[in-house]
Amino acid sequence: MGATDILLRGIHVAALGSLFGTLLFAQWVLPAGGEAAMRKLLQLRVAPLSLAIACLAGFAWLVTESAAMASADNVGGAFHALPLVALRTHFGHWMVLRLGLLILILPLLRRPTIAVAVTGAAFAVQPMLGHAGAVGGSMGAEMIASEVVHVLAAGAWLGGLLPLFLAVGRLPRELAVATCRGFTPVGLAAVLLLAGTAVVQAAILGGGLPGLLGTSYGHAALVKSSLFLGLLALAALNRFVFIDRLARSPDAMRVSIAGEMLLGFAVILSAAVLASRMPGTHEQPVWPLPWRLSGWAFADPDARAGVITALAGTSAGIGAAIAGLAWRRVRWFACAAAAILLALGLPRLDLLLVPAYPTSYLASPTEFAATSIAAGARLFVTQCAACHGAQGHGDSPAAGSLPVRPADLTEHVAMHRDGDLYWFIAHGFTAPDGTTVMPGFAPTLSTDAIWHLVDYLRAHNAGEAMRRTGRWPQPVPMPQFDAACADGRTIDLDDLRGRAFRIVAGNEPVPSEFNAVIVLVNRGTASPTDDVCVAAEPQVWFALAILVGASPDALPGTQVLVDANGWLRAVSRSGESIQIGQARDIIAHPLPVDAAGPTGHHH
Amino acid sequence: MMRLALLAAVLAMPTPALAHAFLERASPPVGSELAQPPHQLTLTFTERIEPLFSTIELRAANGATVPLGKPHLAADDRQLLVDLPVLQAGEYTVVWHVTSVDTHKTEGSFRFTVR
Repeated sequence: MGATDILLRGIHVAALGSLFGTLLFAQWVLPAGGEAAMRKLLQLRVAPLSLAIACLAGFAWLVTESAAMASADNVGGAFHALPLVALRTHFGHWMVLRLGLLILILPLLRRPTIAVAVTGAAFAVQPMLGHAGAVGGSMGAEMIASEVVHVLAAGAWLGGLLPLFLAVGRLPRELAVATCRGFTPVGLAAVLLLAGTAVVQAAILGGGLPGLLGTSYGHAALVKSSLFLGLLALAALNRFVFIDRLARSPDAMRVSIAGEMLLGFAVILSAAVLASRMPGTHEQPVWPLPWRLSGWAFADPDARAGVITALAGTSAGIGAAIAGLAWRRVRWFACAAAAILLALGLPRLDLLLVPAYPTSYLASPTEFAATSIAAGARLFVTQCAACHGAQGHGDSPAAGSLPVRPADLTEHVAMHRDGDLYWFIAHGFTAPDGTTVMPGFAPTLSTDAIWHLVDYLRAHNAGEAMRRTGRWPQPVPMPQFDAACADGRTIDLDDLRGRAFRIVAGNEPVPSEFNAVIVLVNRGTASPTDDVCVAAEPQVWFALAILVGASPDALPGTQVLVDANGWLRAVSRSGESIQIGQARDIIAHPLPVDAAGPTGHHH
Repeated sequence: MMRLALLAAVLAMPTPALAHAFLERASPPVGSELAQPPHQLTLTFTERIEPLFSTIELRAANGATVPLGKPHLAADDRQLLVDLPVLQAGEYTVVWHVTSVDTHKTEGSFRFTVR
C-alpha cells in the first residue's frame, strides 16, 4: 500500500468522522436558544461538504486499492480491476456498501437523527476494511467490536472540533462557553473509549513490548500514541485554561482548537499508516535495549529473597512518599523514610533485569520440530563438541588448554530466551581484554542451522535433566512432527492440540487402560489403525530419545504422555506403563499454553 | 525510573495473536517426503483469503512450471485448494502469492518430495 492509498484512506476516514461528529454536534451539543443559524450552517454546509469529500476520497481509495490488488500499474488497468474488486472481494463489498449508505445520507440531512444513525452505520464498516475483518473467529469478532467503538468515539470527538471551532467564533460569548461545556462530556467519554479500545487492538496486533520497541509497526503505534497524548494535552488546556478566557476573547481557544484539528488529522493519518503495515506481531522485533525484564530471580533460591525484599522496600518507599504528600503532620518523617527505603530498594531491582541482545525476541521459525532437533544434534557434533564436549558439559579433551573454560551448556540454558541463545551462537563471546572466548558462527552457519542448534540445546538439556534426576525441571514441549493415520490423512501436532495423547516407541502400540490418542514412533514398519497414527520419520525417534535422555537404541517400549497443550508430562521406560492415576490427572489438567515462561518458543 | 516504567508496561502486555495471511500449514506438509504422489494441494493461511487475487505455482526440480488450474477456496475461507496432475518422482517447489481480505499481499514458497 503506497503513500497515495494511505493519504486517500486518511482523508476519507477524516471526512467521514467530520460528517458523523458534525451531525452529532448539531443535534445534541449545541445548547438551546439563538443557535438556529449555527445549526443550519452545520447541517446544510459543513455536513454536505464532509459528505462530498468522504465520497470522492472513498471512491478514489477504492480505485487505487483495486489497482494495488490487481497489480495494475496504469489508470486503465485500475479501472479494469475496479468492477472485479467492487463486486467480487470482501473489501469491495464493504466499500460499495459504505459508499451506498453515504449517498443515501444526502436527502436525509434535514432529518438529523436518521442521518446520524446511517452515518454511524457507514463509519462502523471501518474494521471490515482492515486487519480486524480478515482475522475471523472469536478474536476477529473481538477486534471488530473494539474497532467499531474506536472509530465512532474518534468521529464523535475529532469530528466535533470543526463545529466547535465555528461555534466559538460565531456564537455570542455566553452561548459559546455553554457549547464548550456541553462538548466536554463528549470529548471525555470519547477519550476513555479510544484509549481502552486502543489497548485491546495493541494487545492483539502489537506483539507486546518487543513489538512496540522493535518493529516499524510498533514505532508507528508509538507515533500515534504520542500524537494522541498531544491531542489530550490541548483538550485539557482548552477545558481548564482557555474556557475561562473565552468570555474576554475567543482567539486563544480558536487557535488551540485549530491545533487540535491538525493533530487529530495527523492521528488519523498515522492510523492509516498502521492499517497499511504488517502488524508488529508478525514482524521479527529487533530489541533496542541492552537489558530486558526477567523473572529468573523469583525462581533462583539465592536471588529470591533479595528481589522480594527490593520490591517490598520500593513499594513501602512509594507508600511512604504518598503518605508524606497527603498528611502534612507526618510529612518530614514520611519523606525521610521514603528516601531511605527507595535508596535501598530501587538499585536492587536490577535483579529483575537481565542482559538482552538485538535478537532476544526473535521467534524461532522451526516450531521446535523433530527434524530441527535432529539437524541440530548433527551440527553439535561437528561445530560445538570439540570445545563443549560430546554431552555439552564443557569438558572436551581440548577444554583444559583453552584460556577460558568452555561453558557447561547443561546449565543456565533455561533462563535464556531462544533469541539470546541465537545471539550467543551467532556472535560468540569476547573477553573484556578483547580476546575471543568463543567465535561467532554467523559467518559459517546459516540462520536455520543456528536455530537448529538452539532447538537441540533445549532438547538436550531436557534429556540430561531427565537422565540425571528422573524429571524435567522446566516444561518441555512435544516437538512438531508428522504422522500418517488410517484414513489416509497426515496429521501433525496442531491436529492433536486440545487432546492428550500417548507416544509409544516401537512397532506395536502398547495396550493401555486409559483412553488417549496413540501415535506410534517406529523405525521399521507399522500400519496405522483406527486409534493409531504412525510417525515413521527417523528424526522423530531420534528427537524423542534426546528429550527423554536415552540412547536411540534403548528407546523401544518407551511411552511418553503428552497433554492437551502439547507438553511432555510423563515417561515410562520399556515394559512399564504410566500410572493410571497420574495419567488421568495429566489428561484432566494440561499445563497452560505459556507454561515454559518467556523462552520465546514458537510453539 | 525508566526501567520501572518499562517493567509496568511489560506486566500489562498480554500475548499477541495473528493477523495478515501467512501459511499456517500445508498438505502435503512443508518439507515432506511422500511415498505416493499427492492429488491435491491444500494451503491453510492465518487469515481469510481473496481467491480472485491469489495464485499457487508448482515448479519441478528442473525449474519447469507444472500447469495447475485456478485455486479455489474451501468452506473455511482461509484455505486454498488446487488439484494436481499425476506427479513424477522428484522435488517440487510450491510458490504462493495470496491477497488477504484486508487487501494485503503476502508470498512464500516451500518444497516437498515425491519418492
